[in-house]
This record gives sequence, C-alpha cells and structure tokens, in this order.
Amino acid sequence: MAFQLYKTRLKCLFRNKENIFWSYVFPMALVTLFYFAFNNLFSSSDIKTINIAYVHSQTEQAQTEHAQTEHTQTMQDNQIENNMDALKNVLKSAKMSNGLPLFNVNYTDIDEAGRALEKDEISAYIVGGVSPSVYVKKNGLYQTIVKSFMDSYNRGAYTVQSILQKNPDALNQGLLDDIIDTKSFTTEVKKDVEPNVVLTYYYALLAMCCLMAANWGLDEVINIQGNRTNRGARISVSPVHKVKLLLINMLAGFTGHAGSIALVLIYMIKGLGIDFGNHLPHLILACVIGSIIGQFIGAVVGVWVNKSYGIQSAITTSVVMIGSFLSGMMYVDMKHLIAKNAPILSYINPVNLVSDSFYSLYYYDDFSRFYLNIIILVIMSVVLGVISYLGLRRKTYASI
Amino acid sequence: MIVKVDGLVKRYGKLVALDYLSFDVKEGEIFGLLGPNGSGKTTAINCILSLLKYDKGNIEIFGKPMGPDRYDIKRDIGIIMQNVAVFDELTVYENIYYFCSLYIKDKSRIKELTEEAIRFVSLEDYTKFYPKKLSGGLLRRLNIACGIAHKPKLIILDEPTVAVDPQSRNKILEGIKQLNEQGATIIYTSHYMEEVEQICNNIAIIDKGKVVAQGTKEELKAMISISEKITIETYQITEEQLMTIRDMPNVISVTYDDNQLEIKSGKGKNNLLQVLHYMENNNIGFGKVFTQLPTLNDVFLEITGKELRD
Repeated sequence: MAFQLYKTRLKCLFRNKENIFWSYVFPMALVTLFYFAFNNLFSSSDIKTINIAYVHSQTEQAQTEHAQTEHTQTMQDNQIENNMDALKNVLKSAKMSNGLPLFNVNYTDIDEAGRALEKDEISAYIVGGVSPSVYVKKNGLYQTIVKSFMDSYNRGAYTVQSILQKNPDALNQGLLDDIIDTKSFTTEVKKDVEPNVVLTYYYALLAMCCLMAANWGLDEVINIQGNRTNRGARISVSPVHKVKLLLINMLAGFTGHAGSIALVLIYMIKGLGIDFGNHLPHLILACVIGSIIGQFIGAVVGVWVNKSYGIQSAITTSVVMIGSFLSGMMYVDMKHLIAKNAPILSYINPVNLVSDSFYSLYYYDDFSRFYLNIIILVIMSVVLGVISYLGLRRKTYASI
Repeated sequence: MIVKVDGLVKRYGKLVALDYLSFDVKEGEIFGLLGPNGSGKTTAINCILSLLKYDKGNIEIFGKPMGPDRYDIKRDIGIIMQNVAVFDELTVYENIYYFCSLYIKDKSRIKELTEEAIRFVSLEDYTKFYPKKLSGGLLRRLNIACGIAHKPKLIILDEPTVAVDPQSRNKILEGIKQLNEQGATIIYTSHYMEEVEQICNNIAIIDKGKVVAQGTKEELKAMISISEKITIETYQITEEQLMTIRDMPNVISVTYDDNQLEIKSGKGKNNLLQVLHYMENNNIGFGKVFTQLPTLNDVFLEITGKELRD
C-alpha cells in the first residue's frame, strides 16, 4: 500500500504544471541567464585590442619644440618628457591575458583624433602632459577599460613624481621597484584552483534550487491536514496513520525535487562547464541535505503558520529568497559582509550553509569546513522535522 | 446501534455550535440530519469523525468510543464531504483508486472495487477525464465514488447535492438508496427537506445546534397541528369573508396573498368542500384549487417559528 500511495503522490507532483515550472524550468532558465550574463561580463576572450589615439598636449608640444631649439632643459621639461615617454611605453606594453596588445595607439594631433573618435575609428584618445586626460564619445566597455587604465596610470605616476621630488635619489635606492612590486597578503589555499567570484553566484543559485524544495514540503503537509483542504479532511478520516502518510508524501516530494536538482546539476556541469571541483559524491550529499532541509522548512510553515495557502507559500518563498540574498546570490559581497559583521547569520542561513558546502568543496583540500556545514544542516533538519511533527501530531482541530 | 451521539457540546468562543446534541443511528437505516444553513450539521459530522475537538459529550460508532486513533472504526466509514475532495492531477479512475488504496491493501481488490464504484456512479465514459473537465454533477458523482469505493458499513454524506442539476441529484439519491439496500447505514445531512423526505427513514431536525424533533417523516408530521393545506386561486375576497373562513371549525390559519388564498386546517375533518361551498354561495370566483399534506418545512416552521430555508 505504501508504494502505491508513493507512486500516486509522485504522479500528482509531476502532473502539477506549476510545480514543474518552478522546480524544473525556472532553475534551468535562471542558470542559463546567469551563464550568459557572467560570460559577457567576465570573458576576456571577447575583448579585442582597443584602438586609441595619443595626442601631445599644447604645453608638451611647445616644450618639446623649445627643447629642440634652445637645448636648455629644465627639471619640468625633463619631467614632461619622461612622463610622455613613460605613458607611451606603458600603452605600448599593456597586454591582455591572451598575450595580445591591449591598445593599438595612433599618435596624431587633436583635430585628427577628434575626427577619428567621431567616426568611431577609435574608442578614446589620450591627451598627454603632466596629467594626461582621456576623451571618449560614449560609454562602453572599451571606454571604461581605457579610463580605468589611465586612472591607474595617473595614480602611479603621481606617486613616483612625489617621491622623486622629495628624494631624487630614490630611483637609485630601488624604492620605485618596491612601489611597482605589489604583494598579496592573502594565503594561497589551493594551488590548482583559480579564485573565481562568479562561482559564488552559481553556488548560491544551486543552493537556492535545493532549498526550493520548501514549496514541495509545504504542499505535502497541506495535503494531509484535515483543517487545510477537503482532501486533507478525507485523508484524515482514513485508517492510515498520519505520520506514515507524511513520510510517504515527503519521500515522493523529495524524489520529485531531487530529479530537478540532478537535472540542474548535470546542466551546470556538463552543459555550461561550471566547475564544482572533483568531489561529486560530496556535492550530491550537500544537494540532498539541502533538499531535505528545504522540505522541512516548507513543512514547518505549512503546520505552524495558520494562514491561507497563498500566504504560506509567500512566506516559504521569501525565506528561501532572503536566505539566497544573504548568501550572495544577488550581490556577491553580501556573503562576505555577513561573515564579517554577523557571522551567526552565516551559520543559521541554510542557503548559505549549502552554498558554502559547494564553495568549500571547490576551494579546500580537506573536508572539515564541508562537514561542519553538513552537520549544522543535519541538526537543523532534525529540529525542523521535530517541530513539524509536533504540529502534525494534532489529530483533531479546534476549527475547520 | 451504529452511531450514538450523546450530549455533544461544541463552542467557538461565545458561539455555541452544538448544544447538547444527541441522536442515535440504527443499523441499516438512512438517517437524515435536517436543518438550515448554520444549524450545526457539518460541525456535528466533523465531531463524529474526530476531525473537530468538542467540549463535552460522547460519541460511539459500532458500539466503540470514537477517537482520532480509532483506525479500526475509520476502516468501515466512508465520507462524502460537502465540498469535492479529489486530486486535480489524477484522473477519475486514479482518484478513486487512490482513496480506495487508503483502506484496502490488496492491489487486485482495489482495482475490482474501483471499477465497481465507477459503474455505481455511472462514470464509465469518464475514467480518463481529469476532474477539471467534469461538469458539476459528474464531479459530485466522482466525489461519492471516492467515498464509497472501499464498501464502508457506515456512509456519511454531508450535503452531497449542493449545486447539482436535478438529473444528477436524482441519480445521487437513487444511489444512496441502493447503497442502503446493499447493507450500508447512511447518515445524510441536508437543508433540502424534499431530499430528506424522499430517502430518509429516520430524521432529526436540528436547529441552533440541538435536535428539535426526531422520528420518521410520518411521526414528525404527526407532531404538528396542521394536517392539510388548501390553496385556492381567487381574485375577489373581502376581509370580512376571510374572517368567516377563519372562523370555520378546524381552520388553523388563513392567509391571502398574491391572489392565493391559503387555508391551513387541523387534523380530522376535511375542510375543502366546506370552503368551496361557502365561496360558491357568496359569489367568490375561484380558479385553480389544490390541497397539500404538511411538509417537513411546516414541521420546522411550527417548532421553531421560522422557515427551514431562512
């Protein structure tokens, strides 16, 4: 009989179009959306060498001509000339990660540069001098790159100039090498893994999909409560023990939801090539626990929130979405902000615990952080399960 | 005794929904619980089924105290709720099969009973239909099939014909009689007195949570003073003439409204001839004339002072 009830319940779940949409179609669509959004945002392979123009400033021009005719170079003249050469060298030597030059520089006058910019032949032109400036026609990725590059250059140049003015011997003392040589103070935890901020989004997204089981849990509990639905009343007067029926229904809900997670996971790993590390069984374990705790969250809301199904469903979804937000699904720094300012939230937010489990599997060689997350999730599941049971234990109702 | 309800009290705050309600249902009878909306019929049923907590009283089914854990009792009860209680995602066949499988373990027996229930409610042509594709009447029949497929000894039907077309209603009522003939004891709640009169052989009239009268329909009608209602269509009658009719022996009340003269008379003497004779002698023209025996509505009206459908 139990298998028969399980089979029928599974049939109900898979024929519920709304369920299928939110558990199967929606996550796939969201993952695809994330993929294209991040791919365009972070992929450097699509960025081509940027055409720019370099224009000598009027002072720069005049100083150069003066120097050529009078042969009397002052300190400022030297500075301008050094700056001009340095900037030209930097622009020439800047390269992308694929080894191609970042800029294709055309040295010209301001009128020609203006015309080229107007015709979109170049993305920006730089007017040199003591404080070089960037001119663009519109906003865009290439323009932003040029602007960021020049901001960075100007900051560096200003620092070098300041030091040289105060201590002209600094060049010989190797201080400039110290400035140029930036050091990282973060610990390298795993040699073969590239830190990737995008993965935090994907992990939070997969964790959200796992926790979306809350809606399945809510449905299963609603269906067996005599004071919630007519079906629940009919089932309540049948000779089947309520806890037995709840377990059967939850198992059916878990099966249905696990299918959706498996599909999303296969799609992410095989279809989109998202890296989850090399610990598939652990990854599956985290997904399973995530799905189970999701179901219990829905069950608790279904049992203890004495409101209409619409309100219960809204509460369930809100809990999952807020949890996803706090674990960095919408704003990646949120995860770090919470960890820094309210670490307790990191340990009671199940979405964060699940996403952090994925994260730790990817970044760490040992499993201590992963198992800590899993243990907390298991404890939370047991607590939520007991709370649900205490509510469902009521066999008669004050009102129907 | 199949069901024994004794001094049942159920309060919702200050509102007393059931006020020391008591009644007995004997084996093999169709017991009607008749009362207006809000009289406490559904509350009583929910208490009997242990779905609702109650403040006082005792309920016994099959001679055993009823409780939420009495699965041995629940096994022999079939319930047909006021609202349709089926799964939208399952077909007609699957719905009946599912609810039957809550009671029966043997797969082949479930199949057999499911098919029997489908034949019983004449849904053979709709077995693969989903509930949303069924008309209101067919949906009610499915609701009944889900409640009776496991062949219960006690079937409780809570207003099963609400919002049902006359054809389906007759089909449902005939079905209930048939189930009773097959050995099931029935509790039937309704606010439609015609239905209760048509099928029930023991009736409890309930108002404000208590039984105001109980017995067979004949016994209930015998409780009241009216034995006949005469309705005469007439277009000209004076207040004085109405007074004369009112004063005739055995006449209980006379009303004239919308060209309809209605005379209620007591037991014993037949007043029809006497009234017609008087109208003829006094040149009071009249059209259609008909007489009616008292209904359960008259019983309810006389006992509670209000109409059953108030």
